[in-house]
Amino acid sequence: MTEKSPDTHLDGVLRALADGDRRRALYFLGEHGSVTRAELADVLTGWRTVEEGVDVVGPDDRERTAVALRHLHLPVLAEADLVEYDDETVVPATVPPWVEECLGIAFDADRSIDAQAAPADGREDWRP
Amino acid sequence: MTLADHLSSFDARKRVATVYGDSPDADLATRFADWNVEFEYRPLPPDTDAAFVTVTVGDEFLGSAALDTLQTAVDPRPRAVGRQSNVADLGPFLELFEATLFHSERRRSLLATSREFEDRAWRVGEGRLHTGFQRPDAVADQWVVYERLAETGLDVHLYFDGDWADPAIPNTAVHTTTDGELGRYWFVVFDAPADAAAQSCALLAAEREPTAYSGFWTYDPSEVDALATYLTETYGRDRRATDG
Repeated sequence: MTEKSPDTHLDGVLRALADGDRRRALYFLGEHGSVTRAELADVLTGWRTVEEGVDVVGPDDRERTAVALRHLHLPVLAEADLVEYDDETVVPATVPPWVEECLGIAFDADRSIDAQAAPADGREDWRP
Repeated sequence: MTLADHLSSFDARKRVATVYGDSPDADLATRFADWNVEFEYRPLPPDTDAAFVTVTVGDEFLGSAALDTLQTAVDPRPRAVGRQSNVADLGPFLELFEATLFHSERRRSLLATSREFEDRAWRVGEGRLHTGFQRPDAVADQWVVYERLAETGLDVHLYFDGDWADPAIPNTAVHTTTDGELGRYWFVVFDAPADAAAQSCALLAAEREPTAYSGFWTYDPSEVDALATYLTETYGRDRRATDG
């Protein structure tokens, strides 16, 4: 891995975090460590059904996700030194504390957005 | 295709439903107890709101849905129906689970299904019924039932491994082997006549260890036909065993 300036590194991390699929990939990798590329494509496809409120997604959606993962998301994540991967497997890279902080902030923000969106859908749940 | 081949082709169609979320849903596996589906759980980070299910068969991805969608689809509260009638009106996601093929390793469940299939055959009263008893003493246990079945217009064929010492059941063909596959598999195959094809059904179970079974049953007429054809071609269609 080539040494990059802190400025360039932060640019890369923020770029990596600027996409929901890539953030969710990082959250899942953070939970599991090593993950197969096949499962990562399954997970991103399934997770999107919840984010986008779609009932069912099929093999075509999964294929599009796998292509985006291969040609876009994994290279962007690797460029930012967030993951390492080969043909089979993706593993989260060891990152400096400030990158951990960025990931934590992104995770909390995603959660808080979901929580604020929830009452509109689940009105019955909080009705007194 | 031998009986073992039929079983492995059913086995290869097993769905794996992986639940992703921050807590497992034990209820779900119970609700799909007799489906050809195996549930797995993979955690998402704690406090993740999202929860979803992916369905795969082998390496193939079949589909995914929010966990809510699946839970709503199988919620028994709005419509209290049994397993059979439930099959017809499942949402598109549940179709990924194959509502014609079921699996169980519980002997009681396999027995109940066998009884149900014999009952179906009796009600239709025509067509061909192939029952594999494994051993002669199992036939003796069901003697009365099969006498009654033979009184209908059904063409009844019994199969097992060993010698038949008891008197013949009238109108019933008995096919026996020694040390063949018939001793290892339990089956009830009802090949209904063309005008009642929807009544066709077949159960096939392997005895893995003494009294430990793994079995499948199907309501797909073409699969029932494939099993019935195999049995007829392998063990014959005549009633010779009852003549002597």
